[in-house]
Amino acid sequence: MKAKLSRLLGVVSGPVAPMILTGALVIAFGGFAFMALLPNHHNG
Amino acid sequence: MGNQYDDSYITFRHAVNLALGKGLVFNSYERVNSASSFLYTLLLAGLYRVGFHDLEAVSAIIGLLSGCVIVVATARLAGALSRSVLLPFIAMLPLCVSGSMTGWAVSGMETTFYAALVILYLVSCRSGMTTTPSLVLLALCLITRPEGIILWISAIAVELSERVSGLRHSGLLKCAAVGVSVVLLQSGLSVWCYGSIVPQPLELKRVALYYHLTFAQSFRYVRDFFVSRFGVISVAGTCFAVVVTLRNAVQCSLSWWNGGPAPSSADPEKRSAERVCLLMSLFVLGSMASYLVGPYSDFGRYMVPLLPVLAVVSVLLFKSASDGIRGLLPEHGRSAVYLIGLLLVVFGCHQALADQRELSAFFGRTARHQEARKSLGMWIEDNVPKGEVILSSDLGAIAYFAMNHDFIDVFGLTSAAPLTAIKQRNWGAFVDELKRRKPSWVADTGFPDGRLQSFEIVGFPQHWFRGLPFRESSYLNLYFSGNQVVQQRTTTDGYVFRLVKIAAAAYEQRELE
Repeated sequence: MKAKLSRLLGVVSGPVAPMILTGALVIAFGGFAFMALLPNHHNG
Repeated sequence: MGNQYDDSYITFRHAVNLALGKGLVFNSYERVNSASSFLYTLLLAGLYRVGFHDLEAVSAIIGLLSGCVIVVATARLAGALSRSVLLPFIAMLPLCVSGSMTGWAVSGMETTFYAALVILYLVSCRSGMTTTPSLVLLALCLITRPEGIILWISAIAVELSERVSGLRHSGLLKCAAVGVSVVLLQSGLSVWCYGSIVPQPLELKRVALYYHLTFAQSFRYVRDFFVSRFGVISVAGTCFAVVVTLRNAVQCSLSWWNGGPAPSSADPEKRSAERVCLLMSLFVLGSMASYLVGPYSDFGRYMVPLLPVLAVVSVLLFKSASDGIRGLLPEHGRSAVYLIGLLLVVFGCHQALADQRELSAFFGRTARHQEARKSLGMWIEDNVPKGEVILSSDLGAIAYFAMNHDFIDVFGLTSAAPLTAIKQRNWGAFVDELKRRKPSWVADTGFPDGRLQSFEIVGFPQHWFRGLPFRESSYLNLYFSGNQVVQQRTTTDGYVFRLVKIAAAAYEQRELE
């Protein structure tokens, strides 16, 4: 468990971490914005 | 796709008219500038001209792309200034799932496009505030929204503070020259095309009761938007902005008093970061002040562009706080910081998801209204003879889907006559104009009891606008037994959208029926 946590912390503080986290943010934003465009969402 | 916020269709109609060579106008019979953003309208007109005719889809794509630019640029700026990877994520995640960011991005309005320009300008300022990209982006912000002036004034204040502190001398004039040139050029164009410096929406917001809040109401509205929806970044960001501004003001005063340069880092990168921090802090405080004294906007639309900037400045406060915690708790500092970070993310996302639910409900209602307005607009386009003028107080989608018809907007957003009459404190002048033109149709929002919004405004304008004398009787009662309801759409929330053929005799009535 501790090793897994260390590896996770290693990823989020490594050189590719900014790209991974920014990518996650873009996906979250894009997902919610796209949902706002769906007709069912609007007409619900 | 489609069914966007009604005001965006006003911009779409201006863009289509511009692309078709009719000018940046809403109606063919008069020149009124009621588009909410000059640059955004130009962009839509250009895209329409090259073949992208579905402006609902085009505007949604621009909003989506602008939103992605905001996310990447904000994370990058916050990461570069704080030298942290996780903190920008903590500050940005609630924004990315919030309804205010995602809903307005696809609303068809210029909100997200403007916010992207602002954050790109701040990113470019890291390499220098007077580089060509910075100055170009500042000019673009200025011609996108009137609020761009706050950014320009903040930039001038930063340059001025550096000059007073004896740190740098070259930027002030360039920055001032860009702003003055853009404002003069835009004002000149506006006077030449429309005969007025102030755009019609700004004129309207000065007199319409809908947009007018007292200072106490504005304070509650601004507080509720920022603290209830984005509490973490708003409180942290505003505190940071106040501290940075005060510290800089003290440093400038001391430097001016002593007659020597202010203490500053020798590292150019650190100095550039300090400059951007001051710029963002001034922009945050200036924007907050403008929201307190400025007009009301639906669901904080005017406040959305500040959110990414608040996220960046809040990250800088989080960074100082986390460094402090690690210093105080050498053994458990790292765990404490992660725990606090986790709590902030959970709390921030909880607020943002509540915002998402509320904005989804709002845009859902908007969408149902738009379906009704669209169908009325399409019916008008297909069935009403081209030369017949249509009365309304609900112009957006109705007018966009009836592109070949002219409208009289009794609310004064897209027609000049009502505001002219209000400025002269003589609503009778507008009533005379109506009697002369005799619009033969009204397409408008109505109420279940049969009343129509535009008839109410024509009759009792003092209930809608400031500055008109109180009058007990109706100025003009257009409810007339000869009127004929031709089309009617009822939405689930009780609004009724009607198209009514107005009997010519209605304009001859003198007494309240």
